[in-house]
Amino acid sequence: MENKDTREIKGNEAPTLSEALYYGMIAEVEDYAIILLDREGNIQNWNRGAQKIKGYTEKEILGKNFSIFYLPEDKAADLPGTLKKKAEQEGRAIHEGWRMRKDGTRFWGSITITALHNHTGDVVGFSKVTRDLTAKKEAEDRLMQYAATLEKQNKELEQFAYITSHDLQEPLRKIRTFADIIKQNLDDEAVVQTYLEKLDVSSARMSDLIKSILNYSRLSKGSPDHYPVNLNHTIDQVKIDFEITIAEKNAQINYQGLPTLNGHEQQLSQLFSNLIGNALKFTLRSPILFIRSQRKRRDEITSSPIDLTEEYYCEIVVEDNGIGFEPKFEKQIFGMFQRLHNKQKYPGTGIGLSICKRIMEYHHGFITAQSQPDKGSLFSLFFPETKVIKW
Amino acid sequence: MKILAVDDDDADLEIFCESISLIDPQITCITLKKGDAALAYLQEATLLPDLIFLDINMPGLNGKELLKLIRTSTRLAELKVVMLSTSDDERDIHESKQLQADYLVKPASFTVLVSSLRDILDRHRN
Repeated sequence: MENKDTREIKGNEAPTLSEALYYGMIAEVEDYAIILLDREGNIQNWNRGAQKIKGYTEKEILGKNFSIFYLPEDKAADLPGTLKKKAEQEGRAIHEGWRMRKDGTRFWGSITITALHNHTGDVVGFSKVTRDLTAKKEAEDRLMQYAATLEKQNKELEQFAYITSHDLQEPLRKIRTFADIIKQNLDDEAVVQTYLEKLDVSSARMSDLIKSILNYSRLSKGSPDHYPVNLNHTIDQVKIDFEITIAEKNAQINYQGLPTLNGHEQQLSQLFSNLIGNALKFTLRSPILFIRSQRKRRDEITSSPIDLTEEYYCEIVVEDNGIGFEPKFEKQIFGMFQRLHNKQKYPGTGIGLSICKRIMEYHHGFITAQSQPDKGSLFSLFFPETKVIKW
Repeated sequence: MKILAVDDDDADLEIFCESISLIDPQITCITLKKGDAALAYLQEATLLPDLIFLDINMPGLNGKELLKLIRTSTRLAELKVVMLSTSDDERDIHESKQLQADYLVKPASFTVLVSSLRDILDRHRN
C-alpha cells in the first residue's frame, strides 16, 4: 500500500492474489467505512464498516452520490463539492462533522477523502474513509456543557458571596450598632426604647433575608417533578393568599383562559405570587393587573436573554399600573438583592425577581420585563410550547 | 464645615449624623437618600460640601456610579469623597482608590464609627 496522497488507480486488469486479499480485507473492516468514489463522487464499492455506520446495504447505495450522507444544510452549502474539490486540488480533504444515516439519524463522522490518480496524473476517483466518532463527540459535548454549567455556577456563587457580604451584613451590623448605643445610654429610657424598636426592625429584616435566601437556594435542590398545572387555578390560590392586601388596596386582578402547563406546581405558584405581590406593592393607586397568554413564534420574540431553541413559545404576560421603573433597569432587576426603590418606602428583600428568573430557567423558559416610570410594568414569562398541555 | 451624606438607609443616615454631631456640633450635615438626588444637589449647589460620604449599595444610581460622574464633571471633580459600605470587598476598595476616594467599612460599633469618622475629618481638615 502506498503512503503518498496521490495514488494510481489500476485499469480493468484482473486483480492479483495479493490485491484480492487486500480488497477482501477492506470489505471486512467494521470500524471504518472505506468507500471508493468515481470522479463525480458516485459510490463504487461498499464495505462492512460503511453498512454498519451508514445503514445502507451495498445494493441500495452503489451508484449513488456520496452527498447522500450529508445534512440538508451542508448540501445546500455544497460541503460535499467543496471537500471533493479540495481533495482534487490538494490530494486530500479532512473533515469532522454531522452526517446522516439511512434512517435519518445523525452521526459525528471523521472523514478523509483522498484523490486517486492514473499514470498521467489525472484524478480518476477518490477513496473515502469515515470513522463514526459520535460517542466521542457526545462525551466531549457533555464535558463542555458540564464545564459551562460549572462556570455559570461559579459565577453565580461569586456573585452570591459578593451580595450576601453586603446585604446580609447590613441588618446584623445595625443590630450591633443599636445594641452599642443602648449600652452607652442605659439610664436614658427614651433612647433605650427608640433603639430597642430599631433593633427589632433590623432583626425582622435579617430574618426575612435569611428566609428569602433559603427559598432561593432550595429552588436549586433536586429535580422537581413536573405535572399538569392549570394556571387559572394557580392564580385563584395566589389571590386568596393576598386577599387582605387586595381588599385594602382595592386591587383588580383580571385573568381568564390561561393555559395548563406541565410544570412544578409550587414553583409556578411562587412565580405568580412574587409577580402579583410586586404589582400590589409597587403602586401609588389601586392596582389593576391583567394576566393573559399568547402563542409566540421564535422570530416574534425580540428581547430573549437566551438562545431560542424552540419554534414556538407560550407567553404569559403580567401587566400592572404600578410605579414602574426606568427601562435601563429591565435586565438588572432580575439580579439578587437588586432594589430599585428605597427599602423604607417599599420594603422587601430584593430576591423575589431573581427567584422568578430561576423558576423560569427550571422550566426551560425565561422572563423579561418592560417598564417606564409611572406607566406600569409588563413582565413576560416565556415557556417552550412543548410545556403546554392545554391552551 | 459642610458634609453631604448619601445613603438610602434611614437608620444609617441617622447614626451617621448623630456621630458627626458628637464629633463637632458645628458641622452641617446634609443628608440625601438617592444617588440622582445627590447629583442634582451637587450640580445646583452654589456652595459645594467640603466632604461627601457616599453609600455604595443604593437603588438606582449607586455610590460607585455617582463617584464616577463626580470625577468626570469639571466642576465637581476635585470634591473630597469617602465611600461607605457594609462590605470590605477588595474590588470596591480598589475601584474607590482608583477614583481618588477614601473607603470606610461601616463599623458594627457606634464607638468605632465615631472614632473612624473623627480620623477622616481630621485628615481632611488638615
